[in-house]
Amino acid sequence: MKKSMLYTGMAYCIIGLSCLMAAVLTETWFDGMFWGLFGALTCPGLMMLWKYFHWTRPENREEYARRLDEERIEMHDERKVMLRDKSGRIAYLIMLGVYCVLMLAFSICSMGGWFMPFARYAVFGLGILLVFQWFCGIAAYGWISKRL
Amino acid sequence: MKNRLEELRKQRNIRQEELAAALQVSRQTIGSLENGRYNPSIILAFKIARYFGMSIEEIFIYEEEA
Repeated sequence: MKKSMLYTGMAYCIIGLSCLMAAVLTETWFDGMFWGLFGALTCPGLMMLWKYFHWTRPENREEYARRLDEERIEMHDERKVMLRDKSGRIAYLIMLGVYCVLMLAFSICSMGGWFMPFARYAVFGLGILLVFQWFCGIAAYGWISKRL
Repeated sequence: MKNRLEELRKQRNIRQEELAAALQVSRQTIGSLENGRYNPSIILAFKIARYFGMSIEEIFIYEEEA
């Protein structure tokens, strides 16, 4: 197990506990955020520390090496890479459709005067997301195309 | 594209898991190749050919679609 896992885990725990201290000792409108950060950082930090100490035990080293090898094969297996690429493409198309349908629905709400002014903002926000995703698709295609 | 992967593997009494480990791919990839549902990259085709000590054309049969 890499030492970086230990250091990252320790850093997460230290920052998480600092957030807990800040949440308990201060009374500002940041308190909610500090409580959230405490949970969001300390839990994964403790998990990293547990993983590090568990997998560095001599009796677990062989199993860890086997898992690493399995993980490496799973990551680089060409069929799985292709499946990930295809499922990403399908998710991209589905999300384009979802944005369009939601924009249409919120436009109708906006025209009918329902959920105002949220409906109008939603149409605007979803429109930005739709254009951004479409633009990202084109930019990624161009970037990959140049490299090949 | 058809292939003789299953036939060659069985001739040599190799399990899918063993072949997958030797080729550094998942067992599912071997299964998909054998069923003809997946066509390998040229690199994997070379690895398979080298593993069996044959040429690619002896293992993979390319038939042009009518």
